[in-house]
Amino acid sequence: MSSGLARAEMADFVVEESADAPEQAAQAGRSDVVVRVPSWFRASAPTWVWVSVVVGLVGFVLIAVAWGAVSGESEVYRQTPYVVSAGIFGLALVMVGLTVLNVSTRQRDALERERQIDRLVEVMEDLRLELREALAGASQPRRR
Amino acid sequence: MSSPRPALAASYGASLAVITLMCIAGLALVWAGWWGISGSAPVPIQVSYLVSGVMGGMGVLGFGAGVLVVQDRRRAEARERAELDRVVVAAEALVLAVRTEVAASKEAS
Repeated sequence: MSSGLARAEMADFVVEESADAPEQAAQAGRSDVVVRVPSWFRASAPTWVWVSVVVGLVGFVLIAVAWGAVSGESEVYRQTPYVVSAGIFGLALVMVGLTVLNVSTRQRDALERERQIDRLVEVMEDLRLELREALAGASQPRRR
Repeated sequence: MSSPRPALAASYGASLAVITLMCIAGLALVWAGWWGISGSAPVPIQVSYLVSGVMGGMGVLGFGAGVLVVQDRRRAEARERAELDRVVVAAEALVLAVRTEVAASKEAS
């Protein structure tokens, strides 16, 4: 499955299929859903790092806009809507950007780890085959 | 295989410097907000300081602290991957040794 993931990343689209066979899915009352996700849209794509940075920057811009609007008003009841709509919303966007950054970097690291594990499994499989060949050779009687 | 640690340490150090500056800037903004609020009696002026200083400072400080957490986790992950790389290299060497040994024993027989 993990090597399939690595191959899928090179393709333009990733196809995620139901893990069960279609008849099993039908028995369970589910449809065999096929979801097509563009590779740039995957959680491990670098796009999300840039998205998080942009969202964070938009948050800071909103805070600046809130300050500009609030400083131009002399009544508190007129300032309060700007504080809530731009100030607090901007702060929330900064936090959202941070969360997206955290999740996307986590996914990227997980993908790297998965590739490493795949490589290790391949090497272990090679080792198993070599050892089997060696043991088969050792069990055969030697010719003189 | 060359160790990724020197490059890793350099980039981590640079990011740590940026994050530290962000945190200091955030704290300075919060302090400036408090200073402005405490020095002005009219509430509308205090609200301006609240938005520009305190909210902006909290945003910068929070973002800096969050990026610090992300960077620290990524550094730990990179270290673990480097260790796992060593295991992979050792396993590859083991396969090569077994292969050579099998070939030698076949030739001998």
